[in-house]
Amino acid sequence: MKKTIIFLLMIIISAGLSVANARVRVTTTTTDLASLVEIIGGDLVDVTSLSRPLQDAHYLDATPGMVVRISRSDMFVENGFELEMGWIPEVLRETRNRRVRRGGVGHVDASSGIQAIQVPERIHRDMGDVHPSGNPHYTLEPVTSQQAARNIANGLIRVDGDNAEIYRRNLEQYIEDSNRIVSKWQEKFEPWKGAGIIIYHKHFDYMLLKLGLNIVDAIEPLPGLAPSAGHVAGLISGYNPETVRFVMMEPWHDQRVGKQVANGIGVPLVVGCPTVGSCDGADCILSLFETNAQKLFDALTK
Amino acid sequence: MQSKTCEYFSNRYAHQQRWVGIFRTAFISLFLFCMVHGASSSAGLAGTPINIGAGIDLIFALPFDDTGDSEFEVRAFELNIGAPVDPFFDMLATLSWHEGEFDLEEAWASAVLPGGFKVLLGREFIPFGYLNRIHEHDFPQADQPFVIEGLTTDHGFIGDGGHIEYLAPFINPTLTINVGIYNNIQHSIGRRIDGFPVLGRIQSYMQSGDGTHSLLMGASYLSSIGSKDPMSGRLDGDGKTSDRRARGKINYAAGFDLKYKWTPVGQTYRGLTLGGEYLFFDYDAYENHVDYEPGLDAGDDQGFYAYLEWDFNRFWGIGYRYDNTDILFSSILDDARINAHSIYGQWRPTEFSRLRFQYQYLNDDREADAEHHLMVQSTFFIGWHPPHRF
Repeated sequence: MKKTIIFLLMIIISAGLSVANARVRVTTTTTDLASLVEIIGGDLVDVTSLSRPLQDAHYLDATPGMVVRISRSDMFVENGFELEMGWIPEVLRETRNRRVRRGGVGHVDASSGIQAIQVPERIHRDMGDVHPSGNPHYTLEPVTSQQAARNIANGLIRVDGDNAEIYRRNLEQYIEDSNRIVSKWQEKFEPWKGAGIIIYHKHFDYMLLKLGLNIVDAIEPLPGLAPSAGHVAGLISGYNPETVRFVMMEPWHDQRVGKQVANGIGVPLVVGCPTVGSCDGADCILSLFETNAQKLFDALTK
Repeated sequence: MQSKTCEYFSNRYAHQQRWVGIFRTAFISLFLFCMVHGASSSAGLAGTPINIGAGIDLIFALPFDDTGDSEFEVRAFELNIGAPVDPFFDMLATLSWHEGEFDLEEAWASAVLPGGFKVLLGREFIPFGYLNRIHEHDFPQADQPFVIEGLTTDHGFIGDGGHIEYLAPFINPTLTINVGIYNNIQHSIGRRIDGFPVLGRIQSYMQSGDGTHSLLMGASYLSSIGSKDPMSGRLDGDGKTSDRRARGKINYAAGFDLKYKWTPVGQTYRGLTLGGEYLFFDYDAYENHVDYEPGLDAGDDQGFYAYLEWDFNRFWGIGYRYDNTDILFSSILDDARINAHSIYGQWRPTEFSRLRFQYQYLNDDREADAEHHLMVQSTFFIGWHPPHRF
């Protein structure tokens, strides 16, 4: 009996402590969004990403662990633009927490209000794995991500209105920092404005376009398709170091193909950091941009 | 493709034929209605987003020993319709044409309840084992594992009823408990567990800290309350049934399943998958069975499959599966048992199409010689497809 009472007291005390130290529990689909939440929420949030840094968020399995994690969250942030359409609908359907489902007070679609690039005029599967709402990889470019940060701040204010001022202040700081950093790199890339680039997948496009670079072709013949030998040969024969300055790709694709194209043309291959946490130094959304920009800068100035 | 087990079980109940016409008419009508009014993941009826998708599953089977028996067929056509009904309910319906039969495979609504509970009501692939909840075209190999095909019918346990699912508040490992009760469990070709089948399943999923190792384990139990009348087919003149399926009382069925995935650090697509299921059926043979002989001990049936698969990248993968199983009511059938080895390779050009090649070495006790089969399966999907689970 005595042990039972002590046990119950411990539970009550630990519950009280957890309330006293309550932080807003946030789950995001990607590490990029987790970084944005950390920037806006600071010490007031406890954030977890469902995908890991080197996982391609297009292709994940919906797992029971994801369901529990979202069910226990105060807020859930998804990238939107159909990036997670292969697995998030299942996770949201299974979640026991109505507040974080679409339409709930704790649900944030970070893409809401973002002017997407590459929005297709028509949608057909023969165009490859295109996203009807446009390119979903906006988090690679901090200025475009300002709207995502606003959406996250609004979400945090909805679930934790007492700290609204802090969230607003952190948002303003992020906007200021991102404008400054992107402007700095735009100036550095000014001499290479319009330089041609071949990409593998349309992952870095927001950043490349912001820096004034010109995406001339892609190793994927269509989004989501494996390159054929003929397509690779066509890239090698169709471009030269005058028209293409480097080839850029994500680490999760076959780097042998990227090297083949880059070597064939005679330009460097840049393997970018696709997400926060995927490279040394890319530990937040701003440093992710800077890390990738530095890689490109090094390739151009070689 | 029909293996020997499938062929053996593929006779149809006469009384179901009248439903075929009804399903066919309803199916075609609904399909045309959806094609006209709906679109994949876009605004459909009254501006409400409805997810609609359709797929086909084609298979070519070539027995090496008798190439004259080779066949190419449309194994299944499937139409999926699903969406949130409102903030409280989700709905999914799957209509299929499968080996010559139109069928309503799934039609359910689910709702989240307080305290980590969720309820699902309607017709569903019951949560018994792992593969039973998965549509055939999404199985890991071109054909069904023999233990699934032989013991749970060639299209799985489908139940009219519902289940409650409890998700414990642990993140790693997770704990999920399902309890279900059904009006009956059947398949379009008619095997039944009559009375009120009751189901229990416990499942746990865990992942290593770096996310490279994932493991899903489950145990399932299926029994029945109320009267059990195994007779649902026709009788011959001598009072014995010529329908060899379901001629016994399935007292209970139990299953254990496991799926493990290893993905190297820094890889999204490359990795190893191991999976398997063990099923056990306890039943009493029915004395009116055409093969029943007095004194014959009915016994039990059991079997398993295990497979491993290696994905080189998002597009290519290879694998191997081993089957070892009784056939349902194997005691009646002279303890017939199946052993099979299958190797396969698959190519996925996109998320919506897949091509599989599979070679199978099959040793069936009822046959004098081992058999060799080649299978080529291709699946194609347009529009929406329900997301895949781990």
